[in-house]
Amino acid sequence: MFLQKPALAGAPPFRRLSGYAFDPSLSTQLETAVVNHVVFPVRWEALAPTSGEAEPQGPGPVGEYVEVVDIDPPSQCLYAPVDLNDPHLLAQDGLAPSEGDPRFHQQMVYAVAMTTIEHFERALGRPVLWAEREPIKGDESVEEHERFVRRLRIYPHALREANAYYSPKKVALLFGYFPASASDAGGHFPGGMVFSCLSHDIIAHETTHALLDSMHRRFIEPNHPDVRAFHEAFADIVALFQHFSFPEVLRHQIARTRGDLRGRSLLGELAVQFGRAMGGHGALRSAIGEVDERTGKWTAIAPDPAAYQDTLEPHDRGALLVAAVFDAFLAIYESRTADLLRIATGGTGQLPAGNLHPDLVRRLAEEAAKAASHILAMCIRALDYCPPVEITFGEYLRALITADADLVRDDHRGYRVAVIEAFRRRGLYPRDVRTVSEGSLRWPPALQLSDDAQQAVQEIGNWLRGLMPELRYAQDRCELFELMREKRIQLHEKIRSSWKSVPQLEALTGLVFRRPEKPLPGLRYDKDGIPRFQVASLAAIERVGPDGDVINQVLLTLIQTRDLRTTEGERMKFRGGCTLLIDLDTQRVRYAIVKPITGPAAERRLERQRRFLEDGDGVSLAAAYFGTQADDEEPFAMLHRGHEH
Amino acid sequence: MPAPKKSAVRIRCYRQGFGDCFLLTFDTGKAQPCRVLIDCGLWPTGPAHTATMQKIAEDIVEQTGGKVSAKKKGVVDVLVVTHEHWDHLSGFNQARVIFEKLLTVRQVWLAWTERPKGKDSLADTLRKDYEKKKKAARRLQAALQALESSPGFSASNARALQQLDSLLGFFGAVGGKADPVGAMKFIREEWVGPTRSYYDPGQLPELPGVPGVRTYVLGPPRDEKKLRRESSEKHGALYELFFGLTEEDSLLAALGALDEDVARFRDVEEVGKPFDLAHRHPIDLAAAQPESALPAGLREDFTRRYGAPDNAWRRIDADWLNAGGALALRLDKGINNTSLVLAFELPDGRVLLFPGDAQLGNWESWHDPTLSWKSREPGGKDIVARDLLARTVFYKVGHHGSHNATAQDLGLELMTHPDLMAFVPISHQMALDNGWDRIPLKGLVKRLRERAKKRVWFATEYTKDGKDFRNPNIDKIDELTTTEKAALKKAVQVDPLWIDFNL
Repeated sequence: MFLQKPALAGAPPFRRLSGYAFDPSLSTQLETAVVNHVVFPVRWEALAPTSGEAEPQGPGPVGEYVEVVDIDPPSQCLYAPVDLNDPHLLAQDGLAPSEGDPRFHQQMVYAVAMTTIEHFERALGRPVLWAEREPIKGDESVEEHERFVRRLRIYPHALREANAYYSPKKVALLFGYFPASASDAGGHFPGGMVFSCLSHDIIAHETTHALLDSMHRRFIEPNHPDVRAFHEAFADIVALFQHFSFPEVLRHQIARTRGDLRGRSLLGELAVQFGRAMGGHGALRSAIGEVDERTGKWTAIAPDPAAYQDTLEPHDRGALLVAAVFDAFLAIYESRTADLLRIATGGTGQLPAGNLHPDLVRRLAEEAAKAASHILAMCIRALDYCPPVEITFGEYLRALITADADLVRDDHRGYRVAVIEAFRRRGLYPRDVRTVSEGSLRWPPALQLSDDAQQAVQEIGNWLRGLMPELRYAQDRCELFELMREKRIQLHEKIRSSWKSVPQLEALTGLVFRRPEKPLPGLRYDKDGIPRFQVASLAAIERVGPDGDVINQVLLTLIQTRDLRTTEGERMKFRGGCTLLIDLDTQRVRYAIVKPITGPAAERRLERQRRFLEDGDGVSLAAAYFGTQADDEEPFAMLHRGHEH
Repeated sequence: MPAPKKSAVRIRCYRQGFGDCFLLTFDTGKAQPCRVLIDCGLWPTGPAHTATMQKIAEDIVEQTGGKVSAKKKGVVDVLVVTHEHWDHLSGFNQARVIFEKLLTVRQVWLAWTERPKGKDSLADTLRKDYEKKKKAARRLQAALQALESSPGFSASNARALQQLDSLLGFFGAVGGKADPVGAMKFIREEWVGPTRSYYDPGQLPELPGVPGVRTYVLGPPRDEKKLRRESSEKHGALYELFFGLTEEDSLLAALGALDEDVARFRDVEEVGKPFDLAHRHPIDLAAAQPESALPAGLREDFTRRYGAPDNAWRRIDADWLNAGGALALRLDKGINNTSLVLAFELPDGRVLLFPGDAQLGNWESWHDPTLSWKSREPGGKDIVARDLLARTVFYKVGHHGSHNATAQDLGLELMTHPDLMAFVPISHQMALDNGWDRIPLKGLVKRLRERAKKRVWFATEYTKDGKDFRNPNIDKIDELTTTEKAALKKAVQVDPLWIDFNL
């Protein structure tokens, strides 16, 4: 969709690729086998070298966004890369699903990763740029121009364990495989090989980690119990709602549940095979229910506001957020389909016993798919309205509401009400709002600026306006990346040189641009004695809402860091940050979403953070021995590994 | 409550540091008291530490009616060994000669998980599982060590190796001094004299000579989760060998160390390999030119995309070895959870709680609705864990004060007795030496102090960097009355080698 080279005449819109809707285990059960085999319509790309390309596409698959490298170090071998341009494969939707053929595995990870990326680009309206390559400490050989990472690397067979993770250092996904436990023979035979890279949910989850990291680099820093949990929850949300983009699956499950999605259905479960292969009764995680360890019975979980207080393990805590979003979706689905049910039942809304009429199933499925895609897009767009550091669930709720209200002025479907209600019932709301309502949850408009401050903003606004065409017409993601990098550096210089003389901009951003009168411990200064800060991101937000409302904004985030120590003497980084949304039409700051670096609120936050760093997550044994910052290099590896099973 | 004229029990807590050793002397009303020794271990090894443990062993002999200089034997009525970790067992190795020659042990109490082979199928299954995990962890450790000086050794490799090094120490390093398995073997089999009994939760083993004191077994749980391995038990060992490949087997296969009994039924070359031979193109990543054996097309592809120096930062040659860190943690937790948990109830109803290193899962299991004990009085209400916790006056803090070995809501918050005291068997310096800066956890110590009105003692004190693990100055405990202070001062005796609590 974006930045593609001009397509050949008649190039197809999609490359159709076979895969599992869930994972291989559902293909061995008669009931689900029929729907588990789906075809992913993957945005077309050449997957073959074109002339003059520095980083050619080709078998792997190696595309514009991802690159599958199928090396298996524990088995000391590699598997030949699949060529999806083989005429035989082009003519029959790629390779048919097969656990025994590594080339199908490559096709599956490619198809699901690309589908997930597509969802992000569609919601955000701009191309995905992966997190940049980090310079290695003490090794200056990583040149500035080598920071760009064109492709997320996917290693489908990297590990021999029940694990899969995103490596921010390598900008890569690593998937594991392992023999299934002998206890539950349902869906696999004991000792049979289970591949995490064949699970739609796991691939989508890990790809989402990478996507989220590309937008918010600081969300991997565990400085609040919500931060890691947010990463996990968000990845689960994306995986869950992608279930609804498979029409056959959706119709099948709606027919089976007779339209009631509040009961147990495949749609609300994650990683079924993985969960069972590790000796559990059911899926690895479930959005709205749980399986009793003793009886094996599934029950819906009642919302419990207290759970937010004392659930600290990141996946479990994240599950609260997933449940809230899924619950909101269910409420919307129900309100969207109430009329259909009345029409189908002569006004009573009471369905008769037996199967539903196929037309009704189809219509219900359409509504579910529509609501799910709206919610998913809403969740992704909200990322632009989050503070750049230390995200909490309450702030994410505010981001969700604000982002949606900006784009869809008239909430006649009640999406925002449904979201607010679902969050409120679980106690997930910011503690600093007076009421839990749309009006008070929307980020407040940025404060009224004095003339000199407005002047400074306008200068930047003008400059940004001039920048837009350049950004819009960048030919290639690398060019775009380099351009953004250069512009961020220029913007940094502009802010550095001019904002220090305008005190109100400090109030606006919660950051400091000149040496504070009272020394601020740990603040970094540049050689001219000006406080250091970072322009973490810069992006154009151009969107058109369903009612024709147009958003024409620039998003920029600033981050400032103080180097402090915990009361136990360990080094810690305390960050403040600010997300500024500047309206290019009016040249005014529309929102300033602030985590201040100084002031009483910052000190309170610092105190909280210190306590959190000292007490750990309170759950895992790893934290008991090694602390929460157990692995800076592979933050997701242990998190995914150590999860109790 | 008026202080009893003569204390019902004296708890001697030895101060070796990061390790457990307690001698309980119960008053029987006769000349000969009843002596119970719980664990005898210290985490670090070395001559100085061996000397400490020998000194403690000699003190145990002297305190139990023996005389070291006269070669007169002491007598311990019951030796409790909570679980097979070095910091609970080292003394039986380092001071084995003293124990063997100068101490008569009448009974040894162990958890059901230690039952000899063939007596308890769940115990056998668990043990086999732990053995395999241990072996896999050791192999991964060795593989990481071999890589240590190569350029491919990453920070996350280093992290995994550190975790393996420090946690495998509980099981003793290969070829090193620590040998908990040997120490356990000594206790379970080699020590001539004592009878051995193995206990399940819900039992009430009897202490000889003190009918007024009741001993409750709370853990380890016969865990349902682990019981779900029933399929292999049902079908017998052969079935398991045929089908029961585990994650560890597949790791061991990759390390060329597959168990023989697993290998017997299989083509060793194929175990753990995810695909048929036809799909596999062998490479030797350790070789200078790993791609040399590849067919031409693949060779070029490998070199360009994976092997090229430009792409070195994205290689994953050794990432799979990091599985060892998590494996070591799972193993450590598993063994900690096999801790025999005992609550001693004194004649007046007060309780002493010794949970070993039980982790949260073990604590939670005490509250299982099926776990209860008959009341002392006929027709009285059944006793449950909650009652015992509410009457606990002495708490031996679990797992040296780490956070997840003292349950909050199902543990500490239920210890509501006004006379609650706690002892943390820890030297924070020793924990730090091993890279564990959260043992004990500050937050837990704080809550313990609140609950126990500051009456929390440590084996070794530590104050630095905002940490305060000091023993209380009784005079300065504002929560206590003058009489209480005086009584407490009498009850607690402090010596460089031990702290006595007379209750």
